[in-house]
Amino acid sequence: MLYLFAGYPRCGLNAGGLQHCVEAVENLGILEHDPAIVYAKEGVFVKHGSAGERIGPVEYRFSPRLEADGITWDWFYEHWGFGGGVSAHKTTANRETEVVDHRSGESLRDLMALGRAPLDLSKLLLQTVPKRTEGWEKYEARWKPGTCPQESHVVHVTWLATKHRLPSFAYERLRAIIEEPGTALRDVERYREKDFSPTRKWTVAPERPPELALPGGRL
Amino acid sequence: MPFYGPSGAAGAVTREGGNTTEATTTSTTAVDLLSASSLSIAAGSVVEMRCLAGKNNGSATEMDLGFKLNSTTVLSATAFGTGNARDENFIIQSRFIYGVTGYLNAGEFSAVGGSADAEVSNVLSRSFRSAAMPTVALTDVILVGQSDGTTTVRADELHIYSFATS
Repeated sequence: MLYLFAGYPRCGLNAGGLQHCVEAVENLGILEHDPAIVYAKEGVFVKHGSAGERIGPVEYRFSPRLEADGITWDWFYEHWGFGGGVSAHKTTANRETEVVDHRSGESLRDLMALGRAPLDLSKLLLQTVPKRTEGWEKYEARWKPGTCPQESHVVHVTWLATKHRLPSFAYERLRAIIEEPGTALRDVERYREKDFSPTRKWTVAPERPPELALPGGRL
Repeated sequence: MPFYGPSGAAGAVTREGGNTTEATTTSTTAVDLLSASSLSIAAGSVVEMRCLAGKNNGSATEMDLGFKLNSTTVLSATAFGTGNARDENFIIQSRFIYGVTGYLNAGEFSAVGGSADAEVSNVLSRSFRSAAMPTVALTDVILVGQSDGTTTVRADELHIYSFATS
């Protein structure tokens, strides 16, 4: 069974720490560690050497918060590998921008293209707008309609593969540990330094429009 | 004393100025661990990828890393690092000219790094030996990770650069 949650564990645990929590400290469930069992978007497979046999579809459960954020089974692309055990995944999506003339909508690059008439910049009203690239449209289509953030962002999803369904008390405890800031860990002295990952502020590199690219085409 | 985690924005999405952290896994099979999506890189582009990866002090095994372009696994999860039970961290680099027919396995994926408590650095390099690169526009670059179930494999700061061709 695959359980998916929004974000990374808010208590600071990494995948190894969350595994330690589930299996050793709070005994919430038994994780799938068999290297022959493969959880993928297309189903659950058993590995026989280099080949694999599909044994059925993935049974999964999304947390309400993850669904509210717009992430469903369709968010994960073809051949996505979920693996076993615990994973805290991270995706980065950066929004490209371009400089356009506010009145005509034409990009500065097109207005100054080879063969066009000289351009009087004093007659332009310029603004930077998001660019609808093929990559962005393909990424946006993965989200529930209207939920894809329209600026550069990071997506964290945490999932666990268990051998059996979790009882409701275990599921709710796990959900709180991962998604609810301020949820206290029990028996905290049983955790080790290696069970935690530090958090930091996420910053985007200063954007430079393609028209102002550095020599060599570097942005 | 109970440990209270830091408060912050809940949910899956982090916007600029919000809190983020590394991607980690304990999976014994290959996991799509760290991804750069929404790219639009045409065939023929010169591409470089850099990221950080490592393993925590767990058991005496290597960590496995692999590489996907769109949904194609160009390098299956392959052992990197040493078989020592210690923290190890690496700068990962991949260089390729994307999607040129006739050269679709011509890619480099390498790891350089080691451990703070050992004066040994490992340089490991692999080609795109598992499958040919796609030739359609490159929209997703994924670092694949795999553990032995005891060690935590981690990765962060995946950056993709494409260069104008002369």
